[in-house]
This record gives sequence, structure tokens and C-alpha cells, in this order.
Amino acid sequence: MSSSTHDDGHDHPEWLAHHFETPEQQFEAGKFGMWVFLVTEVLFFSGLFCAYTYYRGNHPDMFLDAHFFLSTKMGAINTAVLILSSFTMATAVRNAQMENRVWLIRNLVITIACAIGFLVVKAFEYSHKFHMGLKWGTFYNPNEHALEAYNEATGRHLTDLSQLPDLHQFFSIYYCMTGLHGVHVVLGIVAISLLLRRAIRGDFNRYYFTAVDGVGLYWHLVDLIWIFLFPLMYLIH
Amino acid sequence: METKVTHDKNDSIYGGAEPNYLNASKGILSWMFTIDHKRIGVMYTFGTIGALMLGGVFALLVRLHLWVPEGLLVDNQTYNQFFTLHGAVMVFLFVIPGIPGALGNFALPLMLGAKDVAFPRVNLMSFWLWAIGAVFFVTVLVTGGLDTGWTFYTPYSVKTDTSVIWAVSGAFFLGFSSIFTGLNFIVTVHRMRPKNMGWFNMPLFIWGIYSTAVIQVLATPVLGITLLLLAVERSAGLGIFNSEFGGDPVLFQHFFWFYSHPAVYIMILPAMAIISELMATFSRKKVFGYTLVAYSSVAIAIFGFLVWGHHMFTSGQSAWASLVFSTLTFSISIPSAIKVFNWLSTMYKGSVRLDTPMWYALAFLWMFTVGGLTGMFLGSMGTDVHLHDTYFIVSHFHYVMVGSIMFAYFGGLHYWWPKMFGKMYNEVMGKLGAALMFIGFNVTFFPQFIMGSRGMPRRYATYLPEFQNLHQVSTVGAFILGTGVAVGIWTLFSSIVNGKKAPQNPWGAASMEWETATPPIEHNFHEIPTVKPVYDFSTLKFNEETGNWDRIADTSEDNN
Amino acid sequence: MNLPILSTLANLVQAAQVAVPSDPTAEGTFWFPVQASTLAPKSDWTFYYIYWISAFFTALIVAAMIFMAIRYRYRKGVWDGEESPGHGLALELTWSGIPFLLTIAMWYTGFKSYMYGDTPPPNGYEIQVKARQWNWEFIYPNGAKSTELHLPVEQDVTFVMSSADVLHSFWIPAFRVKKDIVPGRYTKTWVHSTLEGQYTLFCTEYCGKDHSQMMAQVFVEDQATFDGWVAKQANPYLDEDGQPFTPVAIGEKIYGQHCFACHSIDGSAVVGPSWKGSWGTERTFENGDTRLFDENYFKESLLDPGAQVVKGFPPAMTSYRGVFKDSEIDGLIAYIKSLGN
Repeated sequence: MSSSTHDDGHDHPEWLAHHFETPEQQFEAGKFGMWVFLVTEVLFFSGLFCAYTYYRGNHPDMFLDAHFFLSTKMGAINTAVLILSSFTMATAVRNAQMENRVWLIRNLVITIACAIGFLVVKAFEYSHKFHMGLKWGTFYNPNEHALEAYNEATGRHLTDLSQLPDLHQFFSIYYCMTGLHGVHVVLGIVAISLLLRRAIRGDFNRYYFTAVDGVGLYWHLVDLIWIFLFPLMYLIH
Repeated sequence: METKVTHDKNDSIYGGAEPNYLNASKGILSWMFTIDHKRIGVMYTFGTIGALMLGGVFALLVRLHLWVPEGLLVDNQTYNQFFTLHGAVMVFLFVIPGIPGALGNFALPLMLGAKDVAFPRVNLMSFWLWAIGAVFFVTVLVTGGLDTGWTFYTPYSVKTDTSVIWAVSGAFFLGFSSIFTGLNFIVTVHRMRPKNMGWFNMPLFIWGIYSTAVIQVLATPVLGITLLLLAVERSAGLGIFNSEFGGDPVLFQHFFWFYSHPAVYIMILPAMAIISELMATFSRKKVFGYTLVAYSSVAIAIFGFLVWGHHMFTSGQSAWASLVFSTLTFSISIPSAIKVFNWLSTMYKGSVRLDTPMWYALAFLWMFTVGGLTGMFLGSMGTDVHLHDTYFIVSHFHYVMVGSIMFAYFGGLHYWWPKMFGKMYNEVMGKLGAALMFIGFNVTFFPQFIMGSRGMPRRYATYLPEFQNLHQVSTVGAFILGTGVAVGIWTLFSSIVNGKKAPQNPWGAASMEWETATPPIEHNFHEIPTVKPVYDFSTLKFNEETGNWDRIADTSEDNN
Repeated sequence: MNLPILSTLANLVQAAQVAVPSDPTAEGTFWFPVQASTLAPKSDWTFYYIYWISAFFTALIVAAMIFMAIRYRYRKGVWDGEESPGHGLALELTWSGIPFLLTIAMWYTGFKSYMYGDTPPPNGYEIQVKARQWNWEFIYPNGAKSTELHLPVEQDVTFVMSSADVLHSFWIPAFRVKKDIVPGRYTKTWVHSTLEGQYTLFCTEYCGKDHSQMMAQVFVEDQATFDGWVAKQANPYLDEDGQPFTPVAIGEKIYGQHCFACHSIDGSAVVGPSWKGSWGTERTFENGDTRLFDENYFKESLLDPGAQVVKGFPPAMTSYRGVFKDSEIDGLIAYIKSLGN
């Protein structure tokens, strides 16, 4: 073996952990680890997608009726916001690689802003549904606002709350899936903020940008999951 | 012919005065915040043995209660808590994390000639997630207990007023501990191997841990989301698993077993991995059909994902789904059979030494044969209908999860203990422990096969008088088994205080963890040892004076 | 020497001796209870097929292990191993292939007996099974309800099962039949019993506190006995010859089941007033009102017992609204009248 001296410290930059032989090995390990982690994330969500498939298969009408209560416009805005944030995140990775610290910082800030914007829109959607009493499972209790919204969306003239379809399972799944996705957005904001701090400190260079790369991959996955959620929830016809 | 003993820098005589990983730094904080895989392995060892003892106490309470048909100790409700906590503690805190956490962490990087796992901080986080999970389980004990069985089947788990949320949260943390351990091992094996160690030059222990890691990473997230949904179902009433609000309890079973059947292979593959090491070292032979054994681990890992429905033949899932699951279940028996035959053939014309670890390995062969073959009765749909949810199944999975896995864990502990702590334990006591465990185990569980097929359902706090004789035999066996485990643990731990100093390589093992000092130095190796052909014992020679197996110069290689 | 193995053999012998039923009337074999259904022989055949193959391979593996542990043991200066092939394709194919073929047969016979047990024949006699924490109720086509399961021998009987609360499982070991009962849906299974006798039905899916007491007795009877039992169960007021009870006899029977603990028929006061000589008397209440003990007062007291409680007695009775049919209330009235006034 060639390098037998690196636990002495010299020849070993501080961003290279003691147990790695070379920067390439560290980078490869970090990137591979991130991919494996993303696989576990996909499988984590896959449980919910299975539940979605199962209940949609058993109750197709419920899912069809439910989309009358979801605002396609807000969903579409959020989709656009997340796609933009994915783009700025990808650019940030490139900036880190190119050692362009100013643009790295700018892109990270835009990404965080988009993520917060997404959550704000989501909060509006949630509060609107709560207002109509469209909560999950046992708390599902639509009121006259829901009746109004349903009549408006369908052009029907229902007068009694009991005529509304029972959608409690749809909303259980809706809140679980979008809620878990929202938690991931929050975690993403935390992770990108930490990156931002390190970027301002000037931690990244052409040899070491593993962290930016890893968080970038994570953020793309969060985006991708939303790309699936949007049509599955909002665009059922 | 003269043999030349080579001393590289890793030899104990060179590094004798140098601090090892145990005494390189001092104080409780130097352990709590260590990122050294060896120290993390040691903490897992202590932790999982603690969990084993806690689960064991519940096991003995269960067995004692069943001494008489109407129940000896407690009321039904308390008994239900005993068996639930026994199962949950054993599965989530001992069997799943045991071998990968304790022995995998300690040995795997050393075997690869690496200085640590790929992500040492993540590794420390895994341990602390395990500890948090353990704290949650202990909290369950003091906050109303848990009476759902370790399977948390809905809708009972939604209706009971015991601490389901605490237990589920604990299992959730343990799941993430397991995921991060698996992730670490996968990346370590892929990226930290020495350049000249090919996949088929890795010890089979690494193959086994690697296959396990793949399952941990792919299956455990599904458990995570299932438990999360269960917790929300319980606290907020989702109506996904709870039939009262239109949910489907069978869906929960599918979700649960999608993880929990692969989890069986998370448990058994590392055990098989240890047995491969022990059979080779103590037979002084390369594992027969090495390649096939390696592939069979991967095959088991893959097939393991496709058989979960065999837990549900009587659940009301469609007969055709059951048929597919039965087919795949039988398919998975083939790689398991291959392993057993290959281990046996490894002894052929070997030089078999019956040290304590080998006692455990041979005991494992019997246990796994019985445990595996009784699995056939359950994989076959027709017989499973009768045997499902009886003592037959209880006995079957104990033969696998205790008989096989706990014995492999103890075999592995007795094997690596000298390397871990630099002390030899008392061989006579070690063998006594193994023998008591073996006798006790079979006396406990063999009668349960008979009870089960004769009509004794599982999870019964009271039973019909016709089963009393068999129950009493089983209870006597359980106490012998408990004594054996106590003797084994005592033998190991007392050696830290009064054991003889261990040589660098007391068993004549060929893998790289034996090439460094005993106990290893803090960063494992001064110089990464040369990668040698896997399981090549020909250059190891026993030194009568030191009790060590010295590496002699390989005459076939230019070694100036 | 390989001591653990020897001790295992000893264990087996010991377990075998213990397992022989001590009760000489207990039937069945070492492994199984008696075969009492058409499914049982099919299921057991697969069991024994797998059993003997397993026994053979276990013996083979243990023998090979003991042999090699002794034959190839390390002996200083005498035996330190010898070269041998590191793998053998033909050998490995053999020991993958033979188990593979054997398992196909296990899979197939298991599948066949499963399908037999899982396919209720058309036109079977249908019994509704209601499972709840922690008891069983069986409802027969003629409306009879019972907590015991009675079956006619040599008849196809289909069970349509549902649960009121959590998961349960329906298992009769003598029939080798088992099916989970899932709340929110119906599950079905069936048997064709072949042997008259008394068996036990167990719940085998853990269902909470008294799971282990959730059993029921199963009686397999000849057709005539069964028909008599089920007819009597549907209408409990028939005598031995199938003749209907008189109203007084109906009342007497109900008294013995429901009323006797609180109301005496010998004039003594227990919890409530005695029935003897009460009919047609003037009853005085706590507030001083009075009323004649007639049909209307009796019926109102039965349905709303707290409304007019006789002076000096506690308002302890619970309502029987919905419990009795009109004919049963008439029977009670007739019975009280018969006790004199």
C-alpha cells in the first residue's frame, strides 16, 4: 500500500476524513450513500402510494368526487414553484463545483424562498379545507361551506349535507401524503440553510462539494414526489 | 524446511506498548461520542446483551406462568403483556440489531482492512437511535405496558388502552437505526474495499452482512411508514387500517409482513455469515462452494421480499395470492439447503477443532436444520392452515430466531471476543454454557411442535389440561436455557477481569481482522495488510509457546 | 465427541415419552388429534410426507456432522487436514436439485388440500358464525342461536363468519380447519365431518384479554339428533315429543332463567316482591299511589321497571325491553296467575 502515513495528519486536507484514502473515495462514498438514502426515502413514500392505489381501486368514485374540493390552480402554482427550486438547486451544485461563491449563495437563498413559498400555499390550502370541515378520518365533518363548494364545482344543487359523498378516507390519505411531503420540505429547508451557512463560510471548493451535491439530490427527490402527488390528487377526472 | 516468521508493523509485539482502541481515550464521553466503529460495536454488544436479558426475563415469566393450565402467576391481561414485551424486546432490540450492530460494526471494517465504516458519524447516530428506541420500550414498561403482540395487528392495536404509541415510536426509531446501519455497510463494502480485494475474495461474513444491509435499506422504510400510519390511526382516526372507519385490517398485515418477513432474513443472514466464518476457520478449510454460498445469500435477500404473504394463508387473502406466495416460499428453501450442505462439506478432510465457537456452529447446524425443515410444513398451504397460529409456529420461529440466530450470535461473540477485549475466556465454562443452552433450548421448544399440531393455540394465557405435561417439560427446558445463557454471558464478561491475555490470532483465522494487534489499535492498521486469497489457511502455523497462529512467509510469493 | 447432538437425541426420546397421552381415552396420534373431517386425512398426508423427508435429511445432516467432526478432528502431528476440492458443480447441483424436486411435491399436495378446504361446496348447510371478544355465537338457518356448535355428521357445512370487534380466527383442530375472521368483511370456510363426538373450537388470532378463554364446544351428531337439537334451539318451548309448551310452562321456564334471583314464588321477599299470590292485588308505591297488579302493570313494569316501584323495595330491576316476544310475556303472565291470588 502506498499511503501509510495519513493518520499523521499532513498530506490530508481537513475536509478529508481520516478513514478515507483519497478525496475521490470520500466523494464517491458520499454520493453513493446519498443515493442509497434516497432509495429508502422512495420506499418510505411507497407505502403511502400503495395505500392510495388500494383505496382508489376499491373506491374510485370517492377519489373522483374528492377532486372537486382540491384547487388545481394552487396545486399547479406549487408545482411550478418546486420545479423552479429544483432548477436553482441544480445550478447551486454547479456553482459550488465552479467555486462561484456569490451565485452559490444566491441560488441557495432562492431555493429556500421557493420552499417557504410552497409551504405558505400549502398552508392556505389546508386552512381552506379545515374551514369546510374536510379533515381526515374520524374528524371528517363537512359543513355548508363544503356543500357550497361542491355545488359550485359540479353545477349540482344539493341542499342537504347528508347528500355529500363520504370522502373521509380520501382526505386521510391526502393529509398523510401531502403532510409527509411537507415534513420533507421542512427538512429540506433546514438542510439547505445549513449549506447556506457553510457556503457563506466558504467551505466548498472544486474538490469538496459533496454536501451540496447530496442535499441537491435530496431536494430533487422531494420535488419528484410532488410531481407524482399533484396529478394523483388534483388531476383525477 | 525453515519457516520465517514475518513481523509487520501491525503485530502485537510491535505495537504492544501502543494504546489500543479501548484505552486510547478515557471517560464516559469518549465512548458516548466515539465515532470508532469498534467502540460502537462494543456499545452495541453491551446494549443488545442487556436487551437479551430483559427479553429473557419475560420469556421465563411466560414459561413459569404456563406451568399449570389455569396460569400460575398473573391474570390474563398481564400474561398478554409478558408475551408481547418478550417478543417486541427480543425482535426489535436484540435479534435485528444484534449481529450487524455488535459484530458487524466491530469486525466488518477490520475484515476489509479499512480504518472505519464509510460514515462514522452516521454509525454513531444509528447506535443512539437504537438507544432511544430502547428507552421508548422501557417507557412502555412503566406507562401501562403493551398487549398487542409484537405484530401490532389492527384493529386491536387501535382499540387497546395500553401504550401502543410509545412502542410504535420506539420501533420507528429502531427502524431508522437499522436503515442507517445498512446504508453504512453497503457503502463501506462498495467503496472501502482495498483495490485488490475483489467481490469474490471477500470473507463470507461480509457477503452476509452486505445482503442483510440491502434488505435493511429496502424493507425497513415500509415498516417505518406502516408504524407511522398506525400511530396516526390510533391518535387521529384515519380509517386506513381500522375497520370501524372503513379501513382494512388485512392491508395492515400486508404492510407489516412486507417488512417483517424480509426482517427474518435481516436476522438470519448475519447468523449464516458468522457460521460460514466459524466453519471455515475451525475446519481450516475454505468454505466449500464459496461462490454458491455467496450467491445464495443474495438469492435469499431477493426472494425474501417476495414471500410475505405466507404469513396470511388463513387471513382471507385470495387463494391464488397464497399460491404464488407458497411457490416463492419453497423457492427460498433451496438456497438455504445449499448453505447447510456446503457448510457440512467444508468439514470434509478439514482439520476440525472443537473450540467453543465451533460448538455453537455445530449446534447451529442442528437448530437451523430443524427450524428450516419445519418451515416446509408452514410453506405448504394445506398444512399451514392447521398449524398457523399454534405452538408449532412458535417453536418453528424460535428454532430459527433463537436456536439459529442467538447461537450464531454467541458463537460470533466467543470467536471475536479475544480480539475485542484482548482476553481469552475459560474454555470449559464456554463449552458448559453452549451445552446447557443447547439442551435447554431443545427441551423447551421440541415439545412445542407436538403441542401445536395437537391443538394448542399460541398466545394463550390459560390452556386445556391435556397439554400440561408438555408445557411443564417446556418450562423446565426454558430454565435450563436461561442458565446456559447466564453461564455464557458470565464466562465472557468475567474474562475481561481475569482472562488470560489473548494472542493476536488465537483461532488461526485467515481474515484481516486478525492481522492487527489484539485489541486493535485506534485506527485499526498502521499499514493496510496485503490482501491474501480468501480462507487461505496454508500460511498460518500454530505457535505452541504463545498460543498464536503465526503468519509464515508464503514461499510461493516473492516477499522480499 | 459431539455431546450436544447426543443430548438432543435424549431429548427427543424424553419428549416422545411425555407426549404419549396419559389419558387412555384420549384419541389421536403422537402428532395429531383424531381425524374428524374429510379434510383431515388430506392435510395430514402432506404433513407426514414432509415429516419423513425432513426426518431423513435431519438424520443425514446430523450423521454427516458427527462423522466428520470425529473423523477429521485435529490431532497433533497425526491429522491436520488434507487437500480436497473447494467446490463440486455436480455435487452442488445434486443437493440443490433433489430438494427442489421434493419441495415441488410438497407444494403441490399442500396446494391441493388447501384448495379443497378453501372451496365450500354449493348447497352446504349454512351456519353464521359471530365472533366477538370473547365468545362465539352460531346462528342456524332456522333462526336457532347457540353458543355451542352442533353439526350433523357426514354433511357439508359452510360457515359464514363475521366479527363484531377485532380479528379472530376459527380453528377446530380435529377438523384441521382454520380461517381468520376479519371485522368489516365476511370470511367463509366449510367442513364435512366424519366422526361423531365432542371437539373444541379455539380462537387462534390474538384478540385481547380473554383470548385464551374464547373457546366453544363442538358436537358432531347424527342427523336425527342434530335436527331435534336445532329445532328445539329455534323454539325452546317444545317438549320431548315436539309438542308446544303451555303458556304456564313457558312462563315457568323463563322464570327459571331470568326472574328467580330477585322474585320468589314462596311469598318471601328477596330483592323484589314475591310473585306468590300477587296477581290482582293492590300495589302501593313510594309516593302513596296505588295500582292493580294486572296485565298492563306487569308489562309496563317489565319494560320500564323504574317507573312504579313497590314501596319498600329498591329500584334494582333493569329493563327487559326487546328481550321477550309477546308470547313469552303472555307465558309469564299465565305463570304468575297460576301462582294464585
